[in-house]
Amino acid sequence: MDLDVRNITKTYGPVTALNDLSLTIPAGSLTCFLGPSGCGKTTLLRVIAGLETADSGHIMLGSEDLSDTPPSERNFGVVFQSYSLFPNLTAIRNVQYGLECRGWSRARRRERAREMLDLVHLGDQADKLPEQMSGGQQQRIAIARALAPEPSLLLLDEPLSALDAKVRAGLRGEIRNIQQQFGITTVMVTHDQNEALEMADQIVVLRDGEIEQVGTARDLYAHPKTQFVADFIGAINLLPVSATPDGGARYGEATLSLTGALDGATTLGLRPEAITLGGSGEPGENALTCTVAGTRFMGNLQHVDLRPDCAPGQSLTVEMNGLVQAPGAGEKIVARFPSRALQVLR
Amino acid sequence: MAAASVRSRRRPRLGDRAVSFILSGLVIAALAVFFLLPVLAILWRSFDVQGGAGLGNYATTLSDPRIWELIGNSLGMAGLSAIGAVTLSYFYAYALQRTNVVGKSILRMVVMAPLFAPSLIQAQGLIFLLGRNGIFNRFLGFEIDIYGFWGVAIANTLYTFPYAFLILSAALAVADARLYEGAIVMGAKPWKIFRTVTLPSTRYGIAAAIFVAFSLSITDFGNAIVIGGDFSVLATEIYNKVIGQAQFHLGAVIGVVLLVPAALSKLIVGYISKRQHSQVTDKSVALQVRPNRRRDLAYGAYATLIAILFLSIPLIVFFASLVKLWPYNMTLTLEHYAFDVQNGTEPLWNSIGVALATATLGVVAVFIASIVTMKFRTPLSGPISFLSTLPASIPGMVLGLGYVLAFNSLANPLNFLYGTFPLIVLLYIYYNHAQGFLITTTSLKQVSATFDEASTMLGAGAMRTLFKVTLPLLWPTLLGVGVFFFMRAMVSLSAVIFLITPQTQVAAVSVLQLADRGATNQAAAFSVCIMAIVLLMLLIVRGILWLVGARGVTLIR
Repeated sequence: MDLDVRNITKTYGPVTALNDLSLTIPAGSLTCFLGPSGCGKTTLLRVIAGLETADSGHIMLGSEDLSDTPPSERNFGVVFQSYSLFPNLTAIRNVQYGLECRGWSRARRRERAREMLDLVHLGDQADKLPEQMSGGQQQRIAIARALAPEPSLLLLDEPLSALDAKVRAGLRGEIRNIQQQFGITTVMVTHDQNEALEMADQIVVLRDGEIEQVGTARDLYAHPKTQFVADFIGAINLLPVSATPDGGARYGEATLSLTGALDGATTLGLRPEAITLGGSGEPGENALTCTVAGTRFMGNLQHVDLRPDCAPGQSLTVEMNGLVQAPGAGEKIVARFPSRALQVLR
Repeated sequence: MAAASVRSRRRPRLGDRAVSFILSGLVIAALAVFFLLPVLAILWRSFDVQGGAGLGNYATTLSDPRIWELIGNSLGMAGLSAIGAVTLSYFYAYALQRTNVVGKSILRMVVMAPLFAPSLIQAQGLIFLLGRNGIFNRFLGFEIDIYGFWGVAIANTLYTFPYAFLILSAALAVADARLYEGAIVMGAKPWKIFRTVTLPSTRYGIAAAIFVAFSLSITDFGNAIVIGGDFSVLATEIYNKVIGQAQFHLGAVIGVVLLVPAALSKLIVGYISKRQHSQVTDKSVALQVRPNRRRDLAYGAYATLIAILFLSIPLIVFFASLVKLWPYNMTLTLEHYAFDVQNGTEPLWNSIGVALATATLGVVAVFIASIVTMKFRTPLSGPISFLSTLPASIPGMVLGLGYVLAFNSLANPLNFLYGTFPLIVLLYIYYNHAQGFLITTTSLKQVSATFDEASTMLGAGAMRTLFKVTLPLLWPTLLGVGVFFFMRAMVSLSAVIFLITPQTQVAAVSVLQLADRGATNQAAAFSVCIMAIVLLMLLIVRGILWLVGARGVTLIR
C-alpha cells in the first residue's frame, strides 16, 4: 500500500520544520529523504512514525488514516541512527521484543527471531549483548528487530551514519537486498547523496521544510530543477546567464545554445564530466576558449579549472577520467559541451 | 491485512494516557498531603492567634530580646561553621583532585564519616576529647572550655565538612587544562595561578558550599543541644518551646524564621548551579596533575592531619563505648552494648525497620515522581517537578514540627497515622524526597530517549517500556537512592525529634536522650551501632553492585 503524506505542517515555536508538505511513497519502494541538516527530513520521518505530532495534515496508509493512531499501534518498524538496541537484552531477546508486545507464543517468537538473525547473517551472535557486538552488527540486529513483527512500513533514520566507511558500504547493499527481498515499503533518511543515489528508488530532496524535487536518482542527477538540487547531488558548474532575443543564453560575451527555454531563469548548470577539452568538436556544440588555471590530480579522476575568456571572473571545472595528460596551467584551450548538457536551474 | 490482524490480537490495555494521569495524580496527592500540608500547617499555626489570624505570635516572639540574641547566636555560629568547613574542605578537595597525594580513596572515605552517624556524634566526640572530662583536660593538663559557642561551631564545622567537600570536589574535578597551560606559559607562579585561575573557576562551587554548610548548621539541633551548654540557638529554642513548654504557635514562628535562611540559600544554590554548567565546554581539555614533590608532601601532610581529626571522632566514641565509666574507670568492657537502659535495643531495631521501609518506599516514591515528570508527561508534570524538589529547602526540624501540627489534628482524616512508625517513614521519605528525586531524574536523563522510542515503535505500551527497558537500566541508581534513604533514616535526628513517642523510639533520638541524662558510654555505644549498621548496608550494596558489574554508582551523597 502506498503511504501518503498529505499537507503536513509542523512548527517548533517560531520555527517551521515542515511546511504543508505532501508526497506519496509508492508501495514496495525505497524512498530516501535527502537534504542538509535542519531541512526537516528527520522530523518528517518522526511524524510518519508518530513520534512527533504534526500541527496539521494526515498520514495515510492506503485508505487508512493513521494520523491519530499512537506510534505503538502503527505497526511500523524503525531503525535509529545511534544504536538503540536495549543494552540489557541479548541480540535474540532484542529481536523478540516486538513479538512479545504482540503476544506471539514463545515458540513462534524464537523461530521468527532465529529466522531474522539468519537473514542478517548474525545467527551465531544470538546470545550476545549489544555491548559485545560491533557497530555494524548492532545495526543489523536493529534491522532484524524492526522487521521481525512484519511491519507494514520500515523507517530508517540515518541508519549508517554512525558507522565507519567500509562497514557503511557493505550495509548499503545488505539493506537494499533485504528491502527488495521483503518488498517492504521503506523510508530512509540520509544526508549522504551517494547513499541515496545508490539505494533509493525515489529520492525526495528537502530544503527548509519543503520539497525541492522528487524523482529517481537518475532524474535528479540528469535533470535537476533547482540550483539547490543540482549542487546537492553531485558537483556542478553554475553559469550566470541572461536571455538573448533568439532563445539562447548570454554567458559573459558568449552566447550559448540551449535545448530548452530559459524562461526567466538566470542560472545554467553544467556537470564537470559533460565538458570535453580541445579537439575539433561537432556542429551545434558550444565552444568556449579558456585559460587553464590549474589541475588537480585525484587518482582515477583529474579536475581542470578553467577561466573562460568570454566571462572574466567566472570559472569552470572539467572532470577528466583516467590517466590522460591534462593541459598545463596558463595554456589556452577550447572547452566544448553539447547544448543538452546545459540544465536550466531555478 | 497483516497489520490489522496483528492489532486485533493484542490484549486490551489501559491507555497510556490514563496510566500517566493516575500515577501523576497519586504522586501529587502524596506530595500535597505529606509535604505541602505540614508546611502550610506551620505557616497557619504561626499566624493563628486567639480569635483569628494575625501577626500576634510574631509580635510576641520578635519583641522578646531573647529571640534576637538567638538569631545572633545562630547566624554567628552557622557563619563560622560554614566558613570553617568550606575553607578546610576546599584545600582537602584540592589535595585530592589537583595533587598526587597517596591514599586518595581512603582520604575520601574518612571525611565521609560524619554522614554515617547522627549529627550529634560530632558533639559527643568533641566532649570525649575536649570536654570537662575529655582526654585533653583530664589527662593532658589542658584547661579548655568547649561547651558553648565554640563547641557548637566546631561540631558543625565537622558535621558540614563532607557536604562542602562533595560540592567542592566536584567543582575542582572539572578544569580546563588550556587555562592552566596558558598561565604557565606566561610565566605565572603557582600562587598567582591559584588566585587567577583556580579560585575564579571554582567560585560558584565555593558559594554553593558556603550556603549548604550554613543552612545545615543553622538548622542542626543535635550538636547544639549536646555541646551547647548555656549557649542556645534557634533550633534548640524550637525544641524547648514545643517539647518543654508545648507552645506550638511560638515554635511555629521560629520554624518560619528558620525557613528564611534555608530557603534563601537553596534559591542561591539553584541560581549558582545553573551558572556553573557553562564553565566547561566540550572544547575543554582535562587537566593532568603535574608531578611536584614538595606540593604533594605539603598537601599530603594537611590531608593526613584532617583525616586524623575526622577519624578521631568516631574512634574516641568507639573507645568510650568500650570503657566501663569514662573517665573514672577506663577498664575495657562490652557491658554498654547490653543496652539494659531505656528501651534496650528496641530503638535500634525500630530504626532498622524504619530505614528499610523508608529506603523501599522512598525509592518507589521518587521513581514514580521522576517517571511522571520525565516520561509520562501530563500537565501535572511541571507542578510535580516543582513540589518534588522543594523539600530540600525545608529544614528537617521544621518539617517534623509541621507533621505534628498537621497530623495531630483530629480534623485530619489521616490522624490515625499520628504516633505510628508509618508516619515517621513518610516524614523521612518526603524530607529527603528532593535529593532522591534529583538523583533519579539525572540518571533517567542519561537513559537515552531512543530506547523509549524504539520500544514504542516495536509496539510496547508505556508500562511495558517502563518495566522491560527503563527499570532494568536504572536499577543500580535506584539501589543507590535506596542506600541514601536508608542512611538518612538511620542518622536523621532533627526531623523526627517531635514525632517520636515512647512506643515509637528510634536510635538517633535514643543517643540524644542517653547523652542528655549523662549515660555517655551507652550513648556512645548506640552511636557506634548506628554507624556499624550504615557501614554494613553500604558494604552489602557495594558488594551487590560489584557482583552484577554495575559501575559508576555513587552511594555516598
